[in-house]
Amino acid sequence: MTKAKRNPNLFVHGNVSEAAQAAVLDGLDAGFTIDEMAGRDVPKIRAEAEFSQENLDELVKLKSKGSAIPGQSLVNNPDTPYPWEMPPEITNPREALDSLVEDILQPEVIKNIVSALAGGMPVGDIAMAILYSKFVDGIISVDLLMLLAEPVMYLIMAVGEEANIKYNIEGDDLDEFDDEEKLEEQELNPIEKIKQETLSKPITQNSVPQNLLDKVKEQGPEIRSMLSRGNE
Amino acid sequence: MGFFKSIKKAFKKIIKGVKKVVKKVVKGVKKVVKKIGSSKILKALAIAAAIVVTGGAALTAFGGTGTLASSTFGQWMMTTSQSILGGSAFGTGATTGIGKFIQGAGNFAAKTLAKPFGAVGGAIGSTARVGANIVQGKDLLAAGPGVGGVATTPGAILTAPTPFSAEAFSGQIAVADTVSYDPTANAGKGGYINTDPTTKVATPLTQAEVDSLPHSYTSQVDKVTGKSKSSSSLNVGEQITAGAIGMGFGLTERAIAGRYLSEDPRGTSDSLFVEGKSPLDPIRVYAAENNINFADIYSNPTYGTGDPSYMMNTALFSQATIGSPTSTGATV
Repeated sequence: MTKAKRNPNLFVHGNVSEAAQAAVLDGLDAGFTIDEMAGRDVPKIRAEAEFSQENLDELVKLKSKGSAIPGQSLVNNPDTPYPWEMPPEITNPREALDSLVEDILQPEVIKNIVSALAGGMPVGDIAMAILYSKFVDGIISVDLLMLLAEPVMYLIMAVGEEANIKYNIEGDDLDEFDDEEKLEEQELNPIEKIKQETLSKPITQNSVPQNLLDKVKEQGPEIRSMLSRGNE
Repeated sequence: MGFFKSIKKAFKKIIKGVKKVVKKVVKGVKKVVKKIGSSKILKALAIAAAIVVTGGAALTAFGGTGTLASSTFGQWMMTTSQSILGGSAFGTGATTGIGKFIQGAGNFAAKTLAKPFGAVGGAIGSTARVGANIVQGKDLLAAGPGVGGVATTPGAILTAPTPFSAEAFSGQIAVADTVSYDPTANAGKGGYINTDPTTKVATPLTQAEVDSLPHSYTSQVDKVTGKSKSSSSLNVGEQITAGAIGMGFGLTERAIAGRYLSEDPRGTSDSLFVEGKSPLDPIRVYAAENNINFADIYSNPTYGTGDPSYMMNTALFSQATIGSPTSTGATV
């Protein structure tokens, strides 16, 4: 186990991705390895969605209810507005994030998140569901909903990593990272690619053009080897 | 397009953007560390992000036997506050700008964050088990196989705790009755063994199994006799009474000694002592670079080890708790 050469450096970034990158690079610089940061290597559980007639029926039922008639909200009584039409409970992003972290890191919530991730639900959709419900309940404003998307997504990703699940981030992209990695490896090594392609094709009589074969037949033993000394 | 539909559409765009950034960051790290799989970098990033977002609280919350709990990198990231937290801006004297904000953050953290995370404890560490249970079609809270065997198999050495149980919360592993310490094992050096209840054959535990033994068990083993420190000819009731009396005398002794023989009590400075303005430099630089009014930084979300919110939460989750002396003199 590596002992860090120094304390962490101080850095501030406007988004979580950059901060996480800075933290990882800082850790590497301080003497940690990626293996130490990521923990022991154990095979991951593949998140795979299973067809459920029950869920499909539920979705159809919800959809069949129809949607609001354009302008319907304008005829609502202004004295009884919806929660999202009123000033939000939390207006500060930091307080909102703390509140969300507090909500998410509860055993029951974690269970549901893990269950959803393992069932193939993408991280983005889970984050959307959580933040959207907060907005509809009038706890956060729509601006905060957008601002908190990234940290909430990372938090859910951390839960997925902790649960050792190979999860989707957006849509069905389970193997996207691995596929891109393979593609990159091939692109990075064109000579290797050519070599593999050449070796994979067996050399047959058809590999040599017919006119060359005829020439060889005609000249027969007169053909001089490229390694021969020539006329002396 | 309706209002909600436009929100969803905008959110989808953000998700796409986040994914793009994640990929970019993975590539960025990959340039530094060669020949490491993207998934491993993604894992390290997710861990780092969780610590940054929660101010280190995730480490405590993701307790148990999880990656974060055992992450030396995470612990290292939490050392930030120990060395830098300070300055009048964080003290009670601060009345404006960031100082005011940090007091609020600190109060918030102390009031609310401590409780839920305390309640979560090591529960999230059990999520790996829960995740496995989900995909195996088992009950979510079913216990998994142990380190050295299956929980239900006779002779199992160690068993994984039931997720979200008291054992899981403390991050421990249940030990079977068949495990004991043999001072003569391992060529006289002593070691932990597992005795098969049917064949009575003793097998030494592997290092991984020994490492998994809970501290509450190993600390009670007398390595000279091989017996439990608390075991004697006394029955359980007598042992408890004897222990309580012994501890009572010990505590009284130390209390009296501490009261009369020690120096006069002197105030000790906590992490909020005046240390200078340097800890705020990164965030000042960030505010200047991004045309943000420093006094209004509270309403601008920032992330990183230089972020006051991170420092404050890190301090909360790494500070010493109120300890009580034990009979051995150590503070727990």
